[in-house]
Amino acid sequence: VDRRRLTAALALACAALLCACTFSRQRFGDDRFLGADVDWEPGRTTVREVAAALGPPDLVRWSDDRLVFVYRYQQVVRTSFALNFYLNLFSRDQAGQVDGTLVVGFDDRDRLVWWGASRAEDASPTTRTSFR
Amino acid sequence: VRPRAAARVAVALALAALPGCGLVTLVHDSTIGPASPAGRIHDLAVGSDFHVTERGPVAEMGGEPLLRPYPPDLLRRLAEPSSFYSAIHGFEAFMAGVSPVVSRETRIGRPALREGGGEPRPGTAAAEVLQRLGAPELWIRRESGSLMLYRSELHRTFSFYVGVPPVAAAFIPVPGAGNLRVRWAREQDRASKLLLFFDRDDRLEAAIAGADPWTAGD
Repeated sequence: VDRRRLTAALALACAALLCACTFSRQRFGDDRFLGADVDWEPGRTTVREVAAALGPPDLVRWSDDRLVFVYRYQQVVRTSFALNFYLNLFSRDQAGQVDGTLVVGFDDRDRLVWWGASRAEDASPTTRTSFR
Repeated sequence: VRPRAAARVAVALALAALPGCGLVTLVHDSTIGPASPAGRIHDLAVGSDFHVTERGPVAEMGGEPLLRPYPPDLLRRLAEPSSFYSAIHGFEAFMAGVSPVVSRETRIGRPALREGGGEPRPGTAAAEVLQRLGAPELWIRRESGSLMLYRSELHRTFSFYVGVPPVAAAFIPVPGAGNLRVRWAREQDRASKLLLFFDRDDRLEAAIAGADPWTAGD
């Protein structure tokens, strides 16, 4: 079989299979804090050491002499298939999401008091199917 | 005969205009809305808080009457100088809809450190920093020392179609032509941040700059 014909046929088959498909990815923030290996010690680690390790935070809160740094990260991956013929005949959407947050609190001497990180990942991505 | 015919036409037009666009757009959305190249248009036609972004026009219905004939802010939409700005945004959204490749960048805020400009040196007075970098997004003043945070964002979108973009498909008189496409899109926010620590005398102690990385291929 001619290799060029085979390649063209494969490309056409792929294009036909992927018709009406959409792939998208949204990414907000920096996820480095999720995998950071930190050896912070409450009462000893300073605000500058945290900022030097992870960079400036996304949000800063201050109240009652407590300084709070918030780092955030979000990623959404979406795939969809929508078939139209005058009307929407069939559609299927699937979305998966990863959310990460790190909160670090400091006292009035800018020493670490507490910190906590969360990473939420959709165990079962949202799927929506509709027929007309 | 002519004045009478003109009066009839005027009455017919008035009757046709009486229900306005609310009913027509509601029927459009309920029937061909999901597949229409115009998308769902009822909210835009008679909703409130109408504004246009680079992605297209936006409005909200909320608790508005569904069969309202005209939008409550019709004059503001058409007659204010901002309507020209909205029209440009709408044109941009249309061009993005018919283009096979779209690359868009939106900046929010001004980067504190311009290219070639280094971070302020330790010992610099807060007044000098403000003069050089401008107003920070956040300035927390405490007895033990203050903290300034500068932040700017760059929102980057890149998408491409292989085949027929949906809006372009509306101009192709072949039923189902809009299905002949594959779309891939990527959207990312990148924040450039600068955190400054000052001592109790408002002298700079440390400056820490950072920027969210672009992912591979961005």
